[in-house]
Amino acid sequence: MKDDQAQSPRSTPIMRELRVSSPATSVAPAPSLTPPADLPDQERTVQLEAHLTLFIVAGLHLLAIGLAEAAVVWVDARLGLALYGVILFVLMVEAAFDREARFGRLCLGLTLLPLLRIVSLAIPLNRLDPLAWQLLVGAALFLAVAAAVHYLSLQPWQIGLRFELAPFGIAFIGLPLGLAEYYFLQPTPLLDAPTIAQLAVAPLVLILCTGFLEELIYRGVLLRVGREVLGARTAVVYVALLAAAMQLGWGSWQHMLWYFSVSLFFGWLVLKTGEIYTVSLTRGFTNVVFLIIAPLWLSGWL
Amino acid sequence: MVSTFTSLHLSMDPAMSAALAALATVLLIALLLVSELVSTMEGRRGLFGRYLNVAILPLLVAFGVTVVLRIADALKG
Repeated sequence: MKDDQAQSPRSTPIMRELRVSSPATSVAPAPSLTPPADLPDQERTVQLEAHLTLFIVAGLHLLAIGLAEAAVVWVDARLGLALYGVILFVLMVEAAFDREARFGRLCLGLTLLPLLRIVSLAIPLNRLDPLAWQLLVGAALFLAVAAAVHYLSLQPWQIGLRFELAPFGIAFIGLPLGLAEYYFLQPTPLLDAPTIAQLAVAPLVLILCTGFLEELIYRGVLLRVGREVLGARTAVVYVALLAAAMQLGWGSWQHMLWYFSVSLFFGWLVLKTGEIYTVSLTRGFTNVVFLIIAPLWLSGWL
Repeated sequence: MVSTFTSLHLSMDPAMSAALAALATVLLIALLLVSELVSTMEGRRGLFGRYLNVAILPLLVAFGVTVVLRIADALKG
Protein backbone atom coordinates (compact mmCIF):
# COMPACT_ATOMS: atom_id res chain seq x y z
CA MET A 1 0.00 0.00 0.00
CA LYS A 2 2.30 2.66 -1.21
CA ASP A 3 1.69 6.21 -0.15
CA ASP A 4 2.12 7.21 -3.77
CA GLN A 5 -0.20 10.20 -3.61
CA ALA A 6 2.32 12.20 -1.65
CA GLN A 7 5.27 10.96 -3.67
CA SER A 8 3.81 11.40 -7.13
CA PRO A 9 4.96 14.33 -9.26
CA ARG A 10 1.32 15.40 -9.38
CA SER A 11 1.15 15.94 -5.59
CA THR A 12 0.56 19.55 -4.63
CA PRO A 13 3.14 21.65 -2.75
CA ILE A 14 0.82 21.68 0.27
CA MET A 15 0.66 17.90 0.32
CA ARG A 16 4.43 17.67 0.16
CA GLU A 17 4.74 20.35 2.86
CA LEU A 18 2.31 18.53 5.11
CA ARG A 19 4.54 15.49 5.08
CA VAL A 20 7.39 17.40 6.67
CA SER A 21 7.43 17.23 10.43
CA SER A 22 7.68 20.29 12.56
CA PRO A 23 11.23 21.26 13.52
CA ALA A 24 10.08 21.04 17.13
CA THR A 25 9.43 17.33 16.82
CA SER A 26 11.92 14.54 16.51
CA VAL A 27 9.57 12.45 14.42
CA ALA A 28 10.70 11.16 11.06
CA PRO A 29 8.62 11.90 7.94
CA ALA A 30 5.67 9.62 7.24
CA PRO A 31 6.80 6.16 6.23
CA SER A 32 6.47 4.70 2.81
CA LEU A 33 4.54 1.52 3.46
CA THR A 34 6.42 -0.44 0.84
CA PRO A 35 10.13 -0.90 1.60
CA PRO A 36 12.55 0.34 -1.08
CA ALA A 37 13.27 -2.24 -3.77
CA ASP A 38 17.05 -2.14 -3.17
CA LEU A 39 16.74 -3.42 0.43
CA PRO A 40 17.91 -6.99 1.12
CA ASP A 41 15.05 -9.46 1.44
CA GLN A 42 15.57 -9.94 5.17
CA GLU A 43 15.40 -6.21 5.88
CA ARG A 44 12.35 -5.86 3.66
CA THR A 45 10.64 -8.59 5.65
CA VAL A 46 11.53 -6.91 8.95
CA GLN A 47 10.19 -3.55 7.72
CA LEU A 48 7.00 -5.09 6.42
CA GLU A 49 6.49 -6.91 9.71
CA ALA A 50 7.01 -3.65 11.62
CA HIS A 51 4.45 -1.87 9.44
CA LEU A 52 2.02 -4.75 9.74
CA THR A 53 2.37 -4.68 13.54
CA LEU A 54 1.63 -0.95 13.60
CA PHE A 55 -1.43 -1.50 11.40
CA ILE A 56 -2.70 -4.28 13.65
CA VAL A 57 -2.17 -2.30 16.86
CA ALA A 58 -3.81 0.79 15.33
CA GLY A 59 -6.71 -1.46 14.31
CA LEU A 60 -6.98 -2.82 17.85
CA HIS A 61 -7.23 0.73 19.18
CA LEU A 62 -10.04 1.40 16.73
CA LEU A 63 -11.75 -1.80 17.86
CA ALA A 64 -11.38 -0.86 21.54
CA ILE A 65 -12.93 2.55 20.97
CA GLY A 66 -15.73 0.97 18.93
CA LEU A 67 -16.42 -1.57 21.70
CA ALA A 68 -16.51 1.12 24.39
CA GLU A 69 -18.93 3.15 22.28
CA ALA A 70 -21.06 0.04 21.74
CA ALA A 71 -21.07 -0.54 25.50
CA VAL A 72 -22.25 3.04 26.07
CA VAL A 73 -25.07 2.62 23.58
CA TRP A 74 -26.23 -0.99 23.99
CA VAL A 75 -25.08 -2.27 27.40
CA ASP A 76 -24.83 0.45 30.04
CA ALA A 77 -23.53 3.98 29.71
CA ARG A 78 -21.70 3.58 33.07
CA LEU A 79 -19.84 0.51 31.80
CA GLY A 80 -19.02 2.36 28.59
CA LEU A 81 -17.66 5.34 30.50
CA ALA A 82 -15.55 3.04 32.69
CA LEU A 83 -14.18 1.32 29.56
CA TYR A 84 -13.38 4.69 28.04
CA GLY A 85 -11.54 5.57 31.28
CA VAL A 86 -9.41 2.44 30.96
CA ILE A 87 -8.74 3.11 27.26
CA LEU A 88 -7.78 6.69 28.07
CA PHE A 89 -5.27 5.56 30.68
CA VAL A 90 -3.79 2.87 28.41
CA LEU A 91 -3.43 5.35 25.54
CA MET A 92 -1.64 7.80 27.87
CA VAL A 93 0.76 5.07 28.99
CA GLU A 94 1.39 4.02 25.38
CA ALA A 95 1.93 7.64 24.33
CA ALA A 96 4.58 8.15 27.00
CA PHE A 97 6.33 4.78 26.96
CA ASP A 98 6.07 3.60 23.35
CA ARG A 99 9.49 3.22 21.76
CA GLU A 100 8.08 4.00 18.34
CA ALA A 101 7.68 7.78 18.76
CA ARG A 102 5.26 8.08 15.85
CA PHE A 103 2.92 5.51 17.33
CA GLY A 104 3.06 7.25 20.71
CA ARG A 105 1.96 10.43 18.98
CA LEU A 106 -1.00 8.62 17.43
CA CYS A 107 -1.95 7.30 20.87
CA LEU A 108 -1.84 10.80 22.36
CA GLY A 109 -4.06 12.02 19.52
CA LEU A 110 -6.45 9.11 20.06
CA THR A 111 -6.96 10.12 23.72
CA LEU A 112 -9.19 12.91 22.41
CA LEU A 113 -11.91 10.41 21.47
CA PRO A 114 -12.37 8.81 24.91
CA LEU A 115 -12.26 12.32 26.34
CA LEU A 116 -14.93 13.50 23.91
CA ARG A 117 -17.30 10.79 25.08
CA ILE A 118 -16.41 10.97 28.81
CA VAL A 119 -16.91 14.75 28.94
CA SER A 120 -20.11 14.61 26.91
CA LEU A 121 -21.53 11.97 29.26
CA ALA A 122 -20.31 13.65 32.44
CA ILE A 123 -21.96 17.00 31.72
CA PRO A 124 -25.71 16.31 31.86
CA LEU A 125 -27.53 17.44 28.73
CA ASN A 126 -30.94 17.11 30.37
CA ARG A 127 -30.07 19.67 33.08
CA LEU A 128 -28.84 22.45 30.81
CA ASP A 129 -29.94 24.48 27.83
CA PRO A 130 -28.65 22.54 24.77
CA LEU A 131 -26.65 25.53 23.53
CA ALA A 132 -25.05 26.12 26.94
CA TRP A 133 -24.26 22.40 27.07
CA GLN A 134 -22.58 22.55 23.67
CA LEU A 135 -20.51 25.53 24.76
CA LEU A 136 -19.39 23.86 28.01
CA VAL A 137 -18.50 20.55 26.35
CA GLY A 138 -16.84 22.48 23.55
CA ALA A 139 -14.76 24.56 25.97
CA ALA A 140 -13.61 21.43 27.81
CA LEU A 141 -12.63 19.68 24.59
CA PHE A 142 -10.91 22.74 23.12
CA LEU A 143 -8.72 22.68 26.25
CA ALA A 144 -7.91 19.01 25.65
CA VAL A 145 -7.09 19.65 21.97
CA ALA A 146 -4.89 22.62 22.88
CA ALA A 147 -2.98 20.52 25.42
CA ALA A 148 -2.59 17.61 22.97
CA VAL A 149 -1.40 19.93 20.18
CA HIS A 150 1.10 21.47 22.63
CA TYR A 151 2.53 18.10 23.71
CA LEU A 152 2.60 16.88 20.10
CA SER A 153 4.57 20.03 19.16
CA LEU A 154 2.25 20.62 16.22
CA GLN A 155 2.19 23.97 14.47
CA PRO A 156 -1.21 25.46 13.49
CA TRP A 157 -0.60 24.86 9.76
CA GLN A 158 0.12 21.20 10.47
CA ILE A 159 -3.41 20.69 11.79
CA GLY A 160 -5.01 22.54 8.91
CA LEU A 161 -5.36 25.99 10.49
CA ARG A 162 -4.47 27.90 7.33
CA PHE A 163 -6.60 29.90 4.95
CA GLU A 164 -4.67 29.36 1.73
CA LEU A 165 -6.56 27.69 -1.10
CA ALA A 166 -9.70 27.33 1.02
CA PRO A 167 -12.59 26.47 -1.33
CA PHE A 168 -15.28 27.79 1.01
CA GLY A 169 -18.01 27.36 -1.64
CA ILE A 170 -17.89 23.61 -1.02
CA ALA A 171 -19.25 24.28 2.47
CA PHE A 172 -22.73 24.80 1.00
CA ILE A 173 -23.01 21.08 0.28
CA GLY A 174 -23.58 20.96 4.04
CA LEU A 175 -27.16 22.07 3.39
CA PRO A 176 -28.22 18.96 1.40
CA LEU A 177 -26.04 16.81 3.68
CA GLY A 178 -28.01 18.13 6.67
CA LEU A 179 -31.30 17.24 4.99
CA ALA A 180 -29.97 13.75 4.21
CA GLU A 181 -28.89 13.29 7.82
CA TYR A 182 -32.28 14.45 9.06
CA TYR A 183 -33.90 11.94 6.70
CA PHE A 184 -31.80 9.14 8.29
CA LEU A 185 -32.19 10.07 11.94
CA GLN A 186 -35.14 12.46 12.45
CA PRO A 187 -33.95 13.58 15.91
CA THR A 188 -36.02 15.50 18.41
CA PRO A 189 -35.53 19.23 17.77
CA LEU A 190 -32.60 20.74 19.63
CA LEU A 191 -34.70 23.88 20.23
CA ASP A 192 -38.45 23.36 20.70
CA ALA A 193 -39.80 26.88 20.39
CA PRO A 194 -36.70 29.01 20.02
CA THR A 195 -36.50 32.74 20.57
CA ILE A 196 -34.99 35.00 17.91
CA ALA A 197 -31.84 35.30 20.06
CA GLN A 198 -31.52 31.52 20.25
CA LEU A 199 -32.00 31.21 16.50
CA ALA A 200 -29.24 33.76 15.98
CA VAL A 201 -26.79 32.17 18.40
CA ALA A 202 -27.47 28.47 17.76
CA PRO A 203 -25.86 28.28 14.28
CA LEU A 204 -22.71 29.96 15.58
CA VAL A 205 -22.50 27.56 18.52
CA LEU A 206 -23.06 24.53 16.29
CA ILE A 207 -20.50 25.67 13.71
CA LEU A 208 -17.90 26.35 16.41
CA CYS A 209 -18.55 23.52 18.88
CA THR A 210 -19.55 20.71 16.54
CA GLY A 211 -18.22 21.73 13.12
CA PHE A 212 -14.88 23.27 13.92
CA LEU A 213 -14.13 21.38 17.13
CA GLU A 214 -14.86 17.92 15.75
CA GLU A 215 -13.03 18.56 12.51
CA LEU A 216 -10.08 19.89 14.51
CA ILE A 217 -10.03 16.56 16.36
CA TYR A 218 -10.64 14.24 13.38
CA ARG A 219 -9.15 15.93 10.34
CA GLY A 220 -6.81 18.21 12.27
CA VAL A 221 -5.00 16.26 14.99
CA LEU A 222 -5.93 12.62 14.26
CA LEU A 223 -5.35 12.78 10.51
CA ARG A 224 -2.03 14.50 11.09
CA VAL A 225 -0.66 11.98 13.59
CA GLY A 226 -2.37 9.10 11.80
CA ARG A 227 -0.55 9.78 8.55
CA GLU A 228 2.78 9.78 10.38
CA VAL A 229 2.12 6.12 11.21
CA LEU A 230 -0.17 4.81 8.50
CA GLY A 231 0.48 7.02 5.49
CA ALA A 232 -1.96 9.56 4.06
CA ARG A 233 -4.55 7.36 2.35
CA THR A 234 -4.79 4.75 5.08
CA ALA A 235 -4.99 7.51 7.71
CA VAL A 236 -7.98 9.03 5.92
CA VAL A 237 -9.78 5.66 6.05
CA TYR A 238 -8.69 5.06 9.66
CA VAL A 239 -9.94 8.44 10.86
CA ALA A 240 -13.19 7.99 8.92
CA LEU A 241 -13.71 4.64 10.69
CA LEU A 242 -13.02 6.25 14.07
CA ALA A 243 -15.45 9.08 13.30
CA ALA A 244 -18.12 6.60 12.19
CA ALA A 245 -17.62 4.55 15.36
CA MET A 246 -18.36 7.64 17.45
CA GLN A 247 -21.76 7.89 15.70
CA LEU A 248 -22.99 4.53 17.06
CA GLY A 249 -25.21 6.31 19.57
CA TRP A 250 -27.50 7.57 16.82
CA GLY A 251 -28.50 3.93 16.32
CA SER A 252 -28.58 3.78 12.52
CA TRP A 253 -26.25 1.65 10.40
CA GLN A 254 -27.29 3.50 7.26
CA HIS A 255 -26.32 6.75 8.93
CA MET A 256 -22.95 5.31 9.97
CA LEU A 257 -22.19 4.18 6.42
CA TRP A 258 -23.28 7.55 5.06
CA TYR A 259 -21.18 9.34 7.65
CA PHE A 260 -18.18 7.12 6.88
CA SER A 261 -18.46 8.07 3.19
CA VAL A 262 -18.72 11.78 4.04
CA SER A 263 -15.69 11.43 6.34
CA LEU A 264 -13.68 9.89 3.50
CA PHE A 265 -14.57 12.87 1.34
CA PHE A 266 -13.64 15.29 4.14
CA GLY A 267 -10.29 13.53 4.63
CA TRP A 268 -9.56 13.65 0.89
CA LEU A 269 -10.47 17.35 0.81
CA VAL A 270 -8.19 18.14 3.75
CA LEU A 271 -5.33 16.27 2.07
CA LYS A 272 -5.93 18.25 -1.12
CA THR A 273 -6.26 21.70 0.44
CA GLY A 274 -4.22 21.37 3.63
CA GLU A 275 -6.86 23.27 5.65
CA ILE A 276 -9.82 22.27 7.80
CA TYR A 277 -11.94 25.43 7.64
CA THR A 278 -13.92 24.26 4.61
CA VAL A 279 -14.82 20.89 6.12
CA SER A 280 -15.57 22.60 9.46
CA LEU A 281 -18.03 24.95 7.78
CA THR A 282 -19.54 22.07 5.81
CA ARG A 283 -20.02 20.07 8.97
CA GLY A 284 -21.37 23.14 10.79
CA PHE A 285 -23.93 23.84 8.04
CA THR A 286 -24.92 20.18 8.03
CA ASN A 287 -25.58 20.26 11.76
CA VAL A 288 -27.50 23.54 11.58
CA VAL A 289 -29.86 22.04 8.97
CA PHE A 290 -29.99 18.66 10.75
CA LEU A 291 -30.67 19.93 14.27
CA ILE A 292 -32.41 23.29 13.80
CA ILE A 293 -33.76 24.14 10.35
CA ALA A 294 -35.16 20.76 9.23
CA PRO A 295 -36.96 19.91 12.52
CA LEU A 296 -38.44 23.39 12.86
CA TRP A 297 -39.45 23.50 9.22
CA LEU A 298 -41.16 20.11 9.27
CA SER A 299 -42.93 20.90 12.55
CA GLY A 300 -44.37 24.00 10.90
CA TRP A 301 -42.53 26.40 13.19
CA LEU A 302 -40.56 28.00 10.34
CA MET B 1 -22.65 14.82 11.99
CA VAL B 2 -22.45 15.37 15.71
CA SER B 3 -20.21 13.19 17.86
CA THR B 4 -20.46 15.14 21.10
CA PHE B 5 -24.04 14.05 21.63
CA THR B 6 -26.28 11.38 20.17
CA SER B 7 -29.89 10.32 20.60
CA LEU B 8 -28.66 8.46 23.70
CA HIS B 9 -27.75 11.76 25.36
CA LEU B 10 -31.11 13.24 24.43
CA SER B 11 -33.02 10.43 26.14
CA MET B 12 -30.92 9.97 29.29
CA ASP B 13 -32.67 10.02 32.68
CA PRO B 14 -31.40 12.20 35.58
CA ALA B 15 -30.29 9.24 37.74
CA MET B 16 -28.04 7.92 34.97
CA SER B 17 -26.67 11.41 34.37
CA ALA B 18 -25.77 11.74 38.05
CA ALA B 19 -24.06 8.32 38.04
CA LEU B 20 -22.02 9.25 34.96
CA ALA B 21 -20.96 12.55 36.50
CA ALA B 22 -19.88 10.67 39.64
CA LEU B 23 -17.88 8.17 37.57
CA ALA B 24 -16.16 10.98 35.69
CA THR B 25 -15.26 12.56 39.03
CA VAL B 26 -13.74 9.27 40.23
CA LEU B 27 -11.72 9.11 37.00
CA LEU B 28 -10.54 12.69 37.52
CA ILE B 29 -9.42 11.91 41.07
CA ALA B 30 -7.55 8.81 39.88
CA LEU B 31 -5.78 10.78 37.16
CA LEU B 32 -4.88 13.54 39.62
CA LEU B 33 -3.41 10.98 42.04
CA VAL B 34 -1.32 9.34 39.32
CA SER B 35 -0.24 12.75 38.07
CA GLU B 36 0.85 13.72 41.57
CA LEU B 37 2.76 10.44 41.99
CA VAL B 38 4.74 10.82 38.79
CA SER B 39 5.10 14.60 38.85
CA THR B 40 8.57 14.53 40.42
CA MET B 41 9.89 11.83 38.14
CA GLU B 42 11.98 12.39 35.06
CA GLY B 43 12.19 10.75 31.67
CA ARG B 44 9.23 8.88 30.28
CA ARG B 45 7.41 8.80 33.61
CA GLY B 46 7.61 12.58 33.80
CA LEU B 47 6.36 12.72 30.22
CA PHE B 48 3.45 10.49 31.22
CA GLY B 49 2.63 12.91 34.05
CA ARG B 50 2.56 15.82 31.61
CA TYR B 51 0.43 13.92 29.10
CA LEU B 52 -2.15 13.33 31.84
CA ASN B 53 -2.91 17.06 31.69
CA VAL B 54 -4.61 16.44 28.34
CA ALA B 55 -7.26 14.43 30.22
CA ILE B 56 -7.27 16.35 33.49
CA LEU B 57 -8.10 19.77 32.00
CA PRO B 58 -11.42 18.83 30.34
CA LEU B 59 -12.43 16.62 33.26
CA LEU B 60 -11.89 19.57 35.61
CA VAL B 61 -14.34 21.59 33.51
CA ALA B 62 -16.88 18.74 33.68
CA PHE B 63 -16.35 18.51 37.45
CA GLY B 64 -16.84 22.27 37.81
CA VAL B 65 -20.16 22.08 35.94
CA THR B 66 -21.29 19.17 38.14
CA VAL B 67 -20.47 21.13 41.31
CA VAL B 68 -22.28 24.26 40.08
CA LEU B 69 -25.38 22.20 39.23
CA ARG B 70 -25.30 20.57 42.68
CA ILE B 71 -25.05 23.96 44.36
CA ALA B 72 -27.92 25.23 42.22
CA ASP B 73 -29.99 22.21 43.32
CA ALA B 74 -29.15 22.82 46.96
CA LEU B 75 -30.10 26.50 46.73
CA LYS B 76 -33.42 25.59 45.15
CA GLY B 77 -34.05 23.33 48.14
